Amino acid sequence: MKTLLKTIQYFYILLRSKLAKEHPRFKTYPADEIEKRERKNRFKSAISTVLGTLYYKYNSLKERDRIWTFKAEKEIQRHGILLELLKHAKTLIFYLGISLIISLLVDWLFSLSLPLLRANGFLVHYFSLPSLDFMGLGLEIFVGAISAVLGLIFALYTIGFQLATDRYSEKVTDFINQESVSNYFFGLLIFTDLFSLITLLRLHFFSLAPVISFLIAGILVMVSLLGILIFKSHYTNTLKPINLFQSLWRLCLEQLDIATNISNYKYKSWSLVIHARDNSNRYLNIFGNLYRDLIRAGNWNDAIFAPLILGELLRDYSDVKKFVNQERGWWFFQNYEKVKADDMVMFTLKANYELQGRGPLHIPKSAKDWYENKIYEYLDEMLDDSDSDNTNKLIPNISSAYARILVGDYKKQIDAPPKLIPGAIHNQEFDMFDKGFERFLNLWKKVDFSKETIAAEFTNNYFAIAIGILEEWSIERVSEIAHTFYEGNQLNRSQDFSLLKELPAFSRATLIDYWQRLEVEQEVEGLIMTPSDKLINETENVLKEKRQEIITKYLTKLFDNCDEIILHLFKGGQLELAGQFIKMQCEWISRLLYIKENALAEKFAPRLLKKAAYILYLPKATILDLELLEQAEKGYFVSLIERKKGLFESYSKISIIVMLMLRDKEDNQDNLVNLLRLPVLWGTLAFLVSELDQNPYYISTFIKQLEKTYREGWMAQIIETAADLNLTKNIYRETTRYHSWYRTVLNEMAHTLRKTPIREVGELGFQEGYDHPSKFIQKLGTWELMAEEICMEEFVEWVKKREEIKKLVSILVQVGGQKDE
Amino acid sequence: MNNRRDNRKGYWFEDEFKSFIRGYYDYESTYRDAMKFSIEVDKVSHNLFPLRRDSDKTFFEIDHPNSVIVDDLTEYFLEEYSRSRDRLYRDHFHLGGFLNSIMHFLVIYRESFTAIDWDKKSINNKEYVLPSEFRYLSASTMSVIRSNNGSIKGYKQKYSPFAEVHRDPTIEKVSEFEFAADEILHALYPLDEEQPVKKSMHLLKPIQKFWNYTIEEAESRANTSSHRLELEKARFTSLSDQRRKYGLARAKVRKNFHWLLDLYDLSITEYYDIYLVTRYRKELNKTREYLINEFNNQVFKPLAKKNKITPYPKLKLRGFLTDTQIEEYFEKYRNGEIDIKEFIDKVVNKD
Repeated sequence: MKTLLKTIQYFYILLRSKLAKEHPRFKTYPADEIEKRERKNRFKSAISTVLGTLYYKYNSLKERDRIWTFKAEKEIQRHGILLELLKHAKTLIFYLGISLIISLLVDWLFSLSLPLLRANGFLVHYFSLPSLDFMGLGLEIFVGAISAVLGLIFALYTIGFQLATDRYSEKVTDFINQESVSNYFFGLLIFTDLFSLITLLRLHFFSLAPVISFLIAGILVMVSLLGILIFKSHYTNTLKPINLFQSLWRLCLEQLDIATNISNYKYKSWSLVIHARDNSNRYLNIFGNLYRDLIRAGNWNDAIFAPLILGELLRDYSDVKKFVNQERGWWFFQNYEKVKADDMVMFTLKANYELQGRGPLHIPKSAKDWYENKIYEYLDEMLDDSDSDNTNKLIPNISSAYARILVGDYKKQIDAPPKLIPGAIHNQEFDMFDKGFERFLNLWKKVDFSKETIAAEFTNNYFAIAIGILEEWSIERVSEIAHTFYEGNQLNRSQDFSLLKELPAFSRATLIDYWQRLEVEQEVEGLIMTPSDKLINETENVLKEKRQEIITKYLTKLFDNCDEIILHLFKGGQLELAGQFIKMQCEWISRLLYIKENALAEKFAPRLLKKAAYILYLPKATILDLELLEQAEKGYFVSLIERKKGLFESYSKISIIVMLMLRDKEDNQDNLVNLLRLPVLWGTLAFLVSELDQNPYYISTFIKQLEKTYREGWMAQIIETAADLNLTKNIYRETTRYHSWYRTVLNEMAHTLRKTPIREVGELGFQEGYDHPSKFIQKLGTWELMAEEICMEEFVEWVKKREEIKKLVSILVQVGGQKDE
Repeated sequence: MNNRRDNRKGYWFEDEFKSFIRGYYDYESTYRDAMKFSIEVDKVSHNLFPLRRDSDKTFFEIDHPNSVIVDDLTEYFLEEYSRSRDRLYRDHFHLGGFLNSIMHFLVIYRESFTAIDWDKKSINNKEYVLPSEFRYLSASTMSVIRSNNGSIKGYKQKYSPFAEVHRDPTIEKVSEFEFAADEILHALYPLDEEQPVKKSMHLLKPIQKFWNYTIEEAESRANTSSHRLELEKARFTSLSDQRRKYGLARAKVRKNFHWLLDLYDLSITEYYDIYLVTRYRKELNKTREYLINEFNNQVFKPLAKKNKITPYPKLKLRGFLTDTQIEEYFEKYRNGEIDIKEFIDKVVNKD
């Protein structure tokens, strides 16, 4: 059949070409297809235009539907204010309700007893039922009263508004004027007034008595009168600058929700998203204007809240920015950029466009960081203004704003530990983080360290940001999600993971990327080829590499910046603060070791060593206050246990320097004994590790540094004496502080070394000891309960022998020298 | 102009009718169009024996107990600048290029027919009967003649009465040629029942859809007042969705071509990347071995018979990783013994 059709087609082409006196064209070339495409068929073109217009209309209608729904929602939301009014006046309404029930009951009883009452001549004489005229009069009073109230409040409102907004610029004033509660309240008053008026007119023009309408009008009048109370407090609150800032923050969040809530219909509407973007931009501009107005008015007490709110605003944005549709750049402002020929992705579009002879193709390029840039610019502006700040709170608040943006904040919870509100680093919004971080690093130049509150706030934020950078990533969670991509050897088509809010941007992008990679396999091969363990391994590696890159990049910058600050503080004589920054660097290294980033910790070891000399200039009181000894010891032991040579060298030096500084002018005997025993306690563990590893590096590095602190030839003797000073009161202190470090190494030995029968020289029987080349380590297997004492004895013996050997070598050198002479 | 030389049988001219009926023109058009399969066809044929300095000797060697025969045949078949041969491989300078061209036809038409013109040749002052020229014959006109037991008896070239060749006054009026079995080098696409181009024809639709979209997208930007349906659809269509669909269609095409995905904006996992390289290398080996076997059976066996050489000389491949070696490296990667860099070094950069 196919052959028959092809044959018919062949002869048709032949006949057609004969008639047209052309060479028959059985083959097609790319040029033919282009020609065919470009050939304009009027009929086809007209049909296409009609269909296209209908398609366009259909899309416009769909979009319009979204907008209608959006407006309807807004309208319903607006009426919520009525409920709010009622809610706030609930006690009064409750009393009104009770009163109404009671009055109804009384009315009913009254109607029951009316025949009896009518029989009472006295009552008939003095009382009467309300008539239609009375209702008419009542309604007239309602109208008059409400009109009077409206006029009065409006006049007062206008005067108050003018007075309050006098200090604000036009845009801020407009914003306050658009405030919805006041607008609604005035609307309600007008509505009540008009409703009462219409009811009054009905009373006069129709025979039907408007009893129910009269009641409704009465209720509305009452609600309006109640509303005056709410309006009063709301009105005074609205005009407070802090409330205006917060109001702008809330409005910005509402706009953000439109652009980032994937499951909402609004997300798909370009008009609504663009509208939300423009609104956000407008609110941010008002925010800036309000801040400037406050500065101009010298209202620093209110102006200082601006950076904090901005910080919160950007932090909130970092939570949801990943959901903004990146391809459809509706949320982003557009610039036009020329497409270059080396752009392989866009080249096809460029070539096709330029074939039409319309010049170079320009495509819209989204300014993807407009929102954060705007906020950062405001923070820059505030930093410039800080010179005139007389409250000394602007700089601390700016630094807190950066801390919130970069590493979030902790929210207090009832009966639970504080909850972390993630910042840009946790949300893995690295571009946003980078910009903020660079600004934060330059902040110290404006910090007046002589002012305690400013310095304390800045230092706390500095520490929080550094620790935030070192925060662990939930890579296991990413692996768990990656595992769900598999349904046997088929791809799980659901991409619900991309909706998870807790998934940070980079992890989310990585997961989407790997899901798409598997999709290629599914499409091409019909199944997934990559085993799940390989995929998880790959994704984990991507995340781990990125994390290392981030830590290295920002920690290096922090170390550089911190060095500058320390130097600045030393020059200014602010030694205690300088000490805090030195301690902070030790904490970073400690954190790296804790999160098992040992290689990175080792990388930063030389930076730490550079700081050792600074400690010599710190007062003893500061060293004690900052607990530098504990900090140094912690690093010393961890680096030793983790066998990090570079770090060990740095911490040995720092520990010895701190010890020397503390010994200086120490006249408390107990403290002196404690300090004298430190080299024994430190050296013993270094000796144990060196023996265990059969690597003298640790003990020799430590002893060489320690030796410099003693007078020539005295070290062995002092160490031996200190080792003997094993006073009972030291036991508790030393067990608390050092026992766990020793146990870690001794347990390591117990887990890794095999036990074997050993025999000491001169002994008859065998004992069970460790299978190890060192006699000392062998012995530790035998005397496990006294291991720490044995280690200390062996260390002291080693130091003494070393001293003897040194003397011998010195004599040999002297003898050798005499012979040479 | 006479397109036949003396006693040489067969034409390379196409038979329009047969080519049209058998869909050959459709297959050809995909190769001519850069937007369709030209990259795949070119890459797959040229990657078989890529261009190299001193090319043939790095790919092939001739195996025979008599070193004189080995030297003579190497000089004739494998030397790039051999003085003994003239236009043996026609447009190709060497055997690798010639085999690549056969692959090119196999990828498009599934089978290839090359006429072998046997002539007397003198190499190092010794007389041999050797192929003087390999000539491509139009595949749509060719058929195989088989004996009752299914073995190939010979080949036939036949033009339909509607072929243009009959109307060309410069061409000798012969519509049918018969070839002996040793006069044709015949090959079939070795990796599949259907040739890649035919197998991928249904994927042209999503591919062309993307190219059309790019034109319409560009036009919709330039001509904002037009409401033509195509432009309206382009306005409401996402570029990345279209690119993704195109990328996936192109990836399927490349699988049909037994090639790597190697697509600019289509990422794949590291494991799959290595798996594809492993599969591709093994399939390359299979194709090379098939063509060398056919060359041995259809050229070197008759050559030995015509020149009374026993045993018959064999063309062998050299310098390629074997399937076992490739599989070993893949296993090592899978077990985590080597990483991707080492795999690339040992397998990808080897050829």
